[in-house]
Amino acid sequence: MSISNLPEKLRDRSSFTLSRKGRRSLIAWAGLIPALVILVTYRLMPLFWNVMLSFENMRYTGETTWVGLENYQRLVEDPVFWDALFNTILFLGAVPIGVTIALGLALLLNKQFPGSNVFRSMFFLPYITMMVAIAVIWSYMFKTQGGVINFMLQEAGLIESNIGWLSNSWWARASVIIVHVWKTTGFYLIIILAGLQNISPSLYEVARIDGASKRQQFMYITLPLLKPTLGVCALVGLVTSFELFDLVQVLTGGGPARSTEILITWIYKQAFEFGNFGYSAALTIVLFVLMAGLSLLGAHLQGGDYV
Amino acid sequence: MTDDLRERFVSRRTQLKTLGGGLTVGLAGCLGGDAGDGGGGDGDDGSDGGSGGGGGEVDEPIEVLTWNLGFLEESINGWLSDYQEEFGYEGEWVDQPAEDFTTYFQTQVQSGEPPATLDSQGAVYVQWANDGVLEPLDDLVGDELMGRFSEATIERDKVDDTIYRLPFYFVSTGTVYRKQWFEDAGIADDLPTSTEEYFSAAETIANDTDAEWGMTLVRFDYALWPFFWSEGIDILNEDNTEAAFNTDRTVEILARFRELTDDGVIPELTWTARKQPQAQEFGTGNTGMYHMWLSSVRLVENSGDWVDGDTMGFMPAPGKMPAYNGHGWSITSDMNQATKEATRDMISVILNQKWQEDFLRNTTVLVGNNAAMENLAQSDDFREENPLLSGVYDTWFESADTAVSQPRINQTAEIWDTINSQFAAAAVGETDPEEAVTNAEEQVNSILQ
Repeated sequence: MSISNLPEKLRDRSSFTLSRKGRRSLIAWAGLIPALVILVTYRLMPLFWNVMLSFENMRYTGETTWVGLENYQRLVEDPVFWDALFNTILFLGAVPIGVTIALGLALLLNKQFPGSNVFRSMFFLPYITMMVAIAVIWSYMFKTQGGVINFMLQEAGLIESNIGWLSNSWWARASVIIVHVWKTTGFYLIIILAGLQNISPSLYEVARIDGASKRQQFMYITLPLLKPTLGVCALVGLVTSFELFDLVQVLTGGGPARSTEILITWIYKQAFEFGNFGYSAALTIVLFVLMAGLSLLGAHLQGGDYV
Repeated sequence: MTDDLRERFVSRRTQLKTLGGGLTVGLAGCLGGDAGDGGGGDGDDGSDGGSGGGGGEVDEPIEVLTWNLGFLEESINGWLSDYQEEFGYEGEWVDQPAEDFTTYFQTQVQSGEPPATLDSQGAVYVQWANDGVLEPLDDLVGDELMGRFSEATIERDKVDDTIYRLPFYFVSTGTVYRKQWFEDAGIADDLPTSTEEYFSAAETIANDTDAEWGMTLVRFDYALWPFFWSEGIDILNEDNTEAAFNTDRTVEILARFRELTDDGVIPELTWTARKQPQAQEFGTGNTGMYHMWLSSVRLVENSGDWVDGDTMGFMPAPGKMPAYNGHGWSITSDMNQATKEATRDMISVILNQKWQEDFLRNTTVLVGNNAAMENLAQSDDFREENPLLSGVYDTWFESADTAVSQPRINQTAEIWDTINSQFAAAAVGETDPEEAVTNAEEQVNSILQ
């Protein structure tokens, strides 16, 4: 149908005239474009490129050779990959520990008392301190001989002989979790405090009138209303737990015997120390799938608030 | 020469070179040759006496990429101005910290804009050489430039008998010791030379003196291996295709390391830390000896008030077979012949005696230029002012001919990461020494496949 055949009402509209809905859509797209460009350029394209690279071997010149599933086969046969995967998942254990401690502290600090703001700042301080500096200091504290932690534990009569914090596989894993919990608890604390302050005091008043105990108030008011806040903490914690690169590199170097190697450190070593870019890309895909899967699972458990 | 005169001189010189380059290209064209592939016309077979004679025009500026030399700005600007004065071309300096260097270089290579020359560490350049990123230097470098270095130094940097980089500076392992503990233990005149003597000296010091520890050491970049090389244990077979270290003696040495760590002769941090804590432990003065990269001498000095030329001694690594780790200058291959020659001239300036001596005075490393090394090592003034550096030089000269470098293959870093991880775990009792050696062997062979 040519334009001349259109009804007069429609013909009056030039080809550039848009309906109100169309105009709204155009404005919306115009607003979205910068974000989309960034998303596509810095997220989707590298992801797509990474997927491609995981089926290839790449030389330093950028030349690639198609190797099919070879990198994934290597991954299955690589004992370090399994150790790293296990540790990556194990270190997620720092999230519930940190959130639980933060929740306890938040309940204590959610009351006005002299110096409450100082306490809040003190707990938050580790979160904004550089991880490398933290790891260096903790590595001295964890020293088997002459380390302050073993000294204090011995003085307190809790241990008889020194613990090999960084030389024993399980203690080394525990050390990573301890430092991670120490660093992130302050962040969770601030988020949970904000959540607590959003709960209307009238709910507690009503509960008290109805004879609810402190425990019941916590179980049936505080905890359910904090669910979205705790969900945010869990998601942020999940992401930071996957990115313990600097802590592991400085504190344990992945040792002893790869017992603290995580996927992100193994990816880095394969790509930038060993030059195995294709294999590193395959490892990255595994990490991505794991992160995406756990994030979706977390969101699902939260009632789909974030999907 | 005034700046004005220099500018005119440079300008005329550049014009002449461009004309020469053009003529050579034309001549090569007449002869049916490819001027871009080795038509360099500066006299002899790859001499180093002036560039720009052939293979197109020099693509200026000549970019010089350095590895963690940001602190040397004044000297590096000196390299560039000397180069411009002597050869008439402009240079440009870019430095990258060690942790960013390889990614930065890789980005440059893949975007088609690699630097003309780069200074790389260890065996990282081997993969670049094998991938064709670096230019073979055998035909590009003449006798004068080659003659500045010892054959052994050149040999250590070769990849499959081809020269891909020229020695810039290097470090080697050696041992520093606190003389007091050796005197107290009665072994001051009987310094250890073999691996077993090292172990027994460490035990004597830890048990018979007030020292807390007998010995500590660093492991990174193959620094642990002198204890094995000195016992005739190689990491790989001759053609670098298979692990060669799974021997009874390897297991014995590893078991001894474990025993000494268990007995408190070697501090456990030796096996869990990289460098700083060991240096600090030794610096506190409670450790007999410290096998380290000798360039860490300032780190040791800064860690302990007791450290000076009289109280701290130097001795070669076990078996006088120190680990060697070099830095060198390579030329990238994606340039025309004239630019490659101009880049070689830049390297020639950087590696001349003047700038190599300057480098020695500003650092704690050793350099490839023999004349610079000898001149400084024999200078009474320098020795008097720098007793610790004199110790470093003397220790190097004592074992220079028998120093051992890492394997020159693509997988060098991965192989050491594997061995180091397994051996350190055995030393702290995480795994059985025999199992650690077997695991390491299996994993290294898997890497080499």
